[in-house]
Amino acid sequence: MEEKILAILKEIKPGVDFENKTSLIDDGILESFDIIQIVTTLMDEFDVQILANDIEPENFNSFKAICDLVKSKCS
Amino acid sequence: MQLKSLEYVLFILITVISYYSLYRVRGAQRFVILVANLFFIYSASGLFSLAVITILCTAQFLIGIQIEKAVTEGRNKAAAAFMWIGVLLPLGVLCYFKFFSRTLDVLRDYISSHGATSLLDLVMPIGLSYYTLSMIAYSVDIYHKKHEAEKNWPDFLVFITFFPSIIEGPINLYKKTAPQFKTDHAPSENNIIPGLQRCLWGYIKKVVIADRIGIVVNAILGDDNSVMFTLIWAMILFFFQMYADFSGGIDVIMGIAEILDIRLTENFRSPFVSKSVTEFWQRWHISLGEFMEKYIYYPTVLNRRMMRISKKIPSKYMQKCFSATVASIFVFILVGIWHGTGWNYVVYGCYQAFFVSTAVLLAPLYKKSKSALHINEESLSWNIFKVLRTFCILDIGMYFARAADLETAIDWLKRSFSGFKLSSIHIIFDGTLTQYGLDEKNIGLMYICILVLILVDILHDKGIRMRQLLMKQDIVFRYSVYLAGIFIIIIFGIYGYGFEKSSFIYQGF
Repeated sequence: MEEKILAILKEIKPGVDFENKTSLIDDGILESFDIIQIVTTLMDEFDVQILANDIEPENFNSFKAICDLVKSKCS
Repeated sequence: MQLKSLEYVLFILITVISYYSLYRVRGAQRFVILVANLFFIYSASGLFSLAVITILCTAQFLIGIQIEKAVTEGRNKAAAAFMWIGVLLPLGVLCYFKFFSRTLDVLRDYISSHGATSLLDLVMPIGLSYYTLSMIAYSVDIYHKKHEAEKNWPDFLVFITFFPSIIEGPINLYKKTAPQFKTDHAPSENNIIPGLQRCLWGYIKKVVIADRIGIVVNAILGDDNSVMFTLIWAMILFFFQMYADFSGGIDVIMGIAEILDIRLTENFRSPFVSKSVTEFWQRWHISLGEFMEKYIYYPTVLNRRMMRISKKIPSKYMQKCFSATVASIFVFILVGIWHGTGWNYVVYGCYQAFFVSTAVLLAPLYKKSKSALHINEESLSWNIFKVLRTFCILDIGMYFARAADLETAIDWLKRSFSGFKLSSIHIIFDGTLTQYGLDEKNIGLMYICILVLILVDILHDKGIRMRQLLMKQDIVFRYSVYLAGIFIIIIFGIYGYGFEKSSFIYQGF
């Protein structure tokens, strides 16, 4: 799952060091449309429901946080 | 009492001294803040403003507790109903004062002609545009279990009525701001000195820069004979005036909060270095942008009905673009009418939405074009071009933001561009501008100020913080700079008739 998420992130926002960055939102690396693309792709790919109120910096600031969010939605 | 008055400075001094002299008494600082908040609202805007905010706070406080109770007990429908009351009540009050109280002129005239006064005569309470948004966010966040409801009414009042930010924001979110009021704060030069520095810079921006530019801008826009580059130049200057005015006010507000050891949301991040309209809105009025993004944009895009409609579009990319574009248009129209009720503000919102949404829709086309033209996106020249292009686009939008109504904005645009001759650029150099209220020396000073404003923005964007640099210097140098700042405000500040109480532009929104 993690490899798939990483591939999605790199396809949507190429050139970002997702493995090491921990402030993707706080530093403005991911913009609102990037978030929308990531959320809708994750929803389609993993058949999960991500809600608007899940879009918080703590859920999208790092690759690990995004993985944790998807895992929490899968369980 | 205005932010730019001696009374306000005195009021801050008394508040800060009381605040820190009582820091050992548990909870006393909250009491000081509460008294300062209520006193400020009363003296700046009167008893009516105080009554509106107190009643709304009380209602919102009780609604918050009911939302939490219903959510905890699993009564989802009741929780949603209370949440909507918590949204619609402040929104209704805001809409009444922003829109309906101005559009019911006929009824107002009728009532006043019969010798009576009514609710229609009431002026908009201070800070309503800002604290109602904080209240809406508060209800929604409790519903989504982002934080607990406040159980202490005075504490909730302290948070909502916090006197520095009641004037022109930033829009505070409960989760970030309110907990800071619950702890006691010891006096520390690490807060007080940087806070004072920021206030000083904020006052320089307002009194020396914004008000100086304002003289020329108002004179040019007030002259029906001004055409072509004179008008265009006025609108360029107005953009700088607006920035110096709004960010100057925010610097003073953030500085005062910092002195009290309270951290508020930053409202600006060097907006003039933006390379696109989208980026500009991530750097300008950030707290409003965050509110719109969190409570309007994402819920609109991820709305089930919206997603069902977008799924019917064959292209995957266009599916995502569709909902994002609709949400952008909706958000920017709201941003426009948040600024004012006229059609010019609706056009202002649509204008911004056009550039933000086309940037998304046409992104693949832009990418192909850049590749075909072999544009090096990392090159300095390309980036300077993008910054200038963004500035020009936004400056056209300023015609709609500055005008009193749509007709005036269109008239200014016509006078600026019909029969435009590049040779009219000479007005910048030939002394024509001295006809508009400032002499040659003052115009020179105005340009120097604008350059300083841009330079500071560029340095901030590069991660060079002027205040941190200053703190590393020895005490003699630091205090010389502070004294110079004070003298700059006294000597070069714009005072006198018509300026003694000039309020901040965003205070009017």
